[in-house]
Amino acid sequence: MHATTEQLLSLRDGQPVEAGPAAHVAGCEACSRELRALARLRTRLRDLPEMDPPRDLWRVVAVEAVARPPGPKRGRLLWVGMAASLLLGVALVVATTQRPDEGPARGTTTDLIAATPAPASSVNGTSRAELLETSRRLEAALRALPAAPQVTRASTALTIADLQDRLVEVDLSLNDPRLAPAQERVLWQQRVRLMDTLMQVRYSQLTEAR
Amino acid sequence: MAGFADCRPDPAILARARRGDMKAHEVLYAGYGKPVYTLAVRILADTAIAEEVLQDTCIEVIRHVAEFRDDAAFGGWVKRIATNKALTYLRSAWHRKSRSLVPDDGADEPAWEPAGCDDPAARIEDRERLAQALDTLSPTARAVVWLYDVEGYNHQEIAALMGKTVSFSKSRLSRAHEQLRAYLGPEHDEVSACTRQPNSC
Repeated sequence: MHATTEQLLSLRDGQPVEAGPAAHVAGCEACSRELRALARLRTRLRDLPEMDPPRDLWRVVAVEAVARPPGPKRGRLLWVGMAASLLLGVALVVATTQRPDEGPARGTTTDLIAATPAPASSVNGTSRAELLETSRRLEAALRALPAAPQVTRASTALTIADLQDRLVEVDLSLNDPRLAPAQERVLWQQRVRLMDTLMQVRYSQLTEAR
Repeated sequence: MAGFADCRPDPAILARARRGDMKAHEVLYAGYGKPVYTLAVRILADTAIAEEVLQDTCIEVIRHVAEFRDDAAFGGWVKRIATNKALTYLRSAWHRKSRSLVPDDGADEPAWEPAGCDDPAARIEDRERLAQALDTLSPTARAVVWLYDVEGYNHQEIAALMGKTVSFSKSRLSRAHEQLRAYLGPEHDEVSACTRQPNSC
């Protein structure tokens, strides 16, 4: 009886096979041919060329690394630090792409970014009133951004949807009348951070579309 | 294919990445991006989801590289993360549903005649045909073939990654090979001269 494919694969890979089938394959032309074909197929699978990911994917990854909250073991410090770094990066891009003697054109995306409130890293130390004001200004800035381009990367769209979902969750929690003042303040901090990140992702989305 | 084996970054770059230097992370990404994306496309047969796998893997690397100490095993570590991410997508109900419309065999496809070794265009066509053959497999069978034959996982590891038994992995591999060969059709002897390479098992 001829060897099964499973036995031939074991022989191909140097794994133990019962003496009977192994001896049969050694003396059977059909099974030996099958064995060689299995080895060739593996070689050809390994020969398949590597595939290039989209060229701009790293930029999306860097933004997402900031946008997604770290796991429960990690503190918020890293997230806030990375958000601040990214914001600084955006600010540097803005600063280096405009002449020193001229501000951003009013009503443009750059103008809105420049006009957005304090970076996320300073959120921890602010009062509830300041947080509310920052949140209000961010919300206005987000509303004033141009509409999303017709063609958006799926990952960017998903990130935006995720951030918006989390904002809804925070808003629902803020509506709870049993909230202690300290809890409320933490939620406002979260809201400001989420909106800050959303602003950056939306900005990235708009620059991608250019 | 270079793959993860060639993904051995400079320890200085890894040290910078551990400190949160995003420039260093970008350098690391330049090394592992391709193998991760390739693994994901081959397993999931979907470039959009493969992008998601790559992104998820990158984020995991960014978040956890500080805890990873074995510089020499960096490529293997990233491969393990990418494999887990790809298999997670494979297990998702959404993916199963979307792939259920894909035929599971190549019954309607013409048998494949492999090209000789002198014709680059024909070799490209051969590779495309092989990639198509992979795509006709069920998602699980495709994952087992790729993980075992290309990425070098053994049956025990595949069983653990998929939450299945060793015999499940062996039987899926065996059936997948039968299906691939049925799809590709009989081979000519001259093909072996073009493609035979040292056994790296």
